[in-house]
Amino acid sequence: MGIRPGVKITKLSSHFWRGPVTVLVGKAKIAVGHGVAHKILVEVSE
Amino acid sequence: MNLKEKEILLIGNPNVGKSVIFSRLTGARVTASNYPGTTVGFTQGALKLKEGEMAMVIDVPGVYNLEPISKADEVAVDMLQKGDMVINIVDATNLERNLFLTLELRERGVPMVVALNMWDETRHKGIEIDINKLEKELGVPVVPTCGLTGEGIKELVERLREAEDLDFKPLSREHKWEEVGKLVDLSQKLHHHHHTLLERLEDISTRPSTGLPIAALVVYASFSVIRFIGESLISFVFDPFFERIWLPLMMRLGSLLGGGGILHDILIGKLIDGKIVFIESFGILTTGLYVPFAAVLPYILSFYLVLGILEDLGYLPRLATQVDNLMHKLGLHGYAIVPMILGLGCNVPGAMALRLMEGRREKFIAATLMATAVPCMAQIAMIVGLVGKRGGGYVALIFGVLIGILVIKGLLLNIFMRGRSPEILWEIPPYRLPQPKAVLKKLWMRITGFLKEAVPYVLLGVLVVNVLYIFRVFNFLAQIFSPVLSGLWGLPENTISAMLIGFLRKDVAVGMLGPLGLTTKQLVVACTVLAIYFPCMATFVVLVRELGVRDMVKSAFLMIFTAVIVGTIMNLIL
Repeated sequence: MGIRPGVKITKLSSHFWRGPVTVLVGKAKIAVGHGVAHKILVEVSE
Repeated sequence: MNLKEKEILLIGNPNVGKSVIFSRLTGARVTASNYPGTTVGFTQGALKLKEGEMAMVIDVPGVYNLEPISKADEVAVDMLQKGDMVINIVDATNLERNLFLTLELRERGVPMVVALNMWDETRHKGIEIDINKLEKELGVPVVPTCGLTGEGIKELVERLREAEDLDFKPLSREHKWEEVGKLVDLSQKLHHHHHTLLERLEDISTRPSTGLPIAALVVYASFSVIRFIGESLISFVFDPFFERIWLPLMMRLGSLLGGGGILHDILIGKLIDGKIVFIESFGILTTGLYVPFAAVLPYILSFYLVLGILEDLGYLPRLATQVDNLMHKLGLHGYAIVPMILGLGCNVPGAMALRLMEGRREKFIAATLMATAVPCMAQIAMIVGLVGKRGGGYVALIFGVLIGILVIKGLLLNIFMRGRSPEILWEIPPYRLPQPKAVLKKLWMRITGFLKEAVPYVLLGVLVVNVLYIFRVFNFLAQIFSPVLSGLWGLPENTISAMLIGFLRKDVAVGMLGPLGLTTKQLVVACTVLAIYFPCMATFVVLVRELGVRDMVKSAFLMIFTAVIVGTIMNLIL
């Protein structure tokens, strides 16, 4: 769904108790389960 | 290419507006909403070409790529094998993600035209796309469109014949993304733009600290509005019509028929204290018309109006995100809220939306929970009408018990079924202001659907009830089922009639409890059991198709089991 190496993603919010995380990829907002979100490794840009 | 009698597929990512474009091309009425997964099966319609020739257009469920994950994805990929041509619908505000599918489609060699949909939104979002450059780079015709207003549809149809067989060599996944990056860099420019009010609303309804209270508020407000509109329609429009206009007519017809006898009983029903009582008489022309039109239709109308607005606004995926945590405890994930909410209108579309669930386990859990604990609006309307007369608290009690069943059964299924609920991964669309015309069109479709599908069954149900009474079939069955009915649930034997008709229509079944002279406790138990013991026939057929015979048998066993247990407990406690 557009989350792939080299792409800038922004975390918008996260739910408590290991709930879903919403991220912004390009112009799309995507809700991601905690477990999947855990596997997304990011490099902090600034 | 000559388009006569060709099959044209509409393919694109979820929620890019394929169904809206489909309606524009064919004039066919299909449900379109602002959330991914509205279309779960395929719909086809005819497109009139200039010279009186026809082509077939097929609306395909949305996919992100051509590697299927869910059943809805499989439908799409299967369709691609037999189509002659593809219109790839692309969300212009989200070019980068959408173009991956475009490149995959291009490799398949099928003639293709790209429709850059939601073109109007790019301007608000500060996105500028150079169509000519994109078209040149992609090597296929590219047409900007706006499904909602119909802009660009004519050009899209005209340019269909420019599409030709394609010959592109397959690229690896990485190379495809590289290519997408190049295409986007070449053809798209982003400008800074200020946050709009809708975007600010998006933010606060996504963040949990504000999103959860907002979700609670939206759900509460929705039900209040549904109730207000439904009740107003009944007391100011439908009841007056039936009481003042229809009642005198029926009384006259009744006396013409001699005030009694088989024909009188079937058409007008039994007189109560010498008068027709619409909800109790049970004639085809009295109760048979009163139930669908005066008791149920007002609530169906108000429910689908509110649902349509929420759908088109794009609220459902946000609600799904807010309740994801909770739903995980029940063995589901947040998106299972979509079939549940659709099921509140009618369990049939709810059951069809089960295709959104990826695995067999969640599909089973979602189906079982919906069929047991989510009553349809027709049933709700009848319960409110009948039980409400004894006190609003009893209505609340029934729904409280149903919610309790939903939670407890979900928790238990999650513990005892092997496997675990999958993680969520879905797109949250931007808020879009619902277009009154689109909302009304969808409402009209759903209302006519209800009238066409429900009214004949209600009339049939009332007829069957009368015939069975005449042949005294109920008396015979009442004796067989008496141990459960009277022994465990504390209900009189004659409630068997309602339990049987419940297989046909739940609203008629609830209505049948009216004339039986039940105590309030018996009425509450009977309504609750009717809601949970088994789905109606129409839902059952769809569930068998979605779950398969084996899972359906298991699920049905669980429903009957729950009904026996819950009915007994309520009988003992109340």
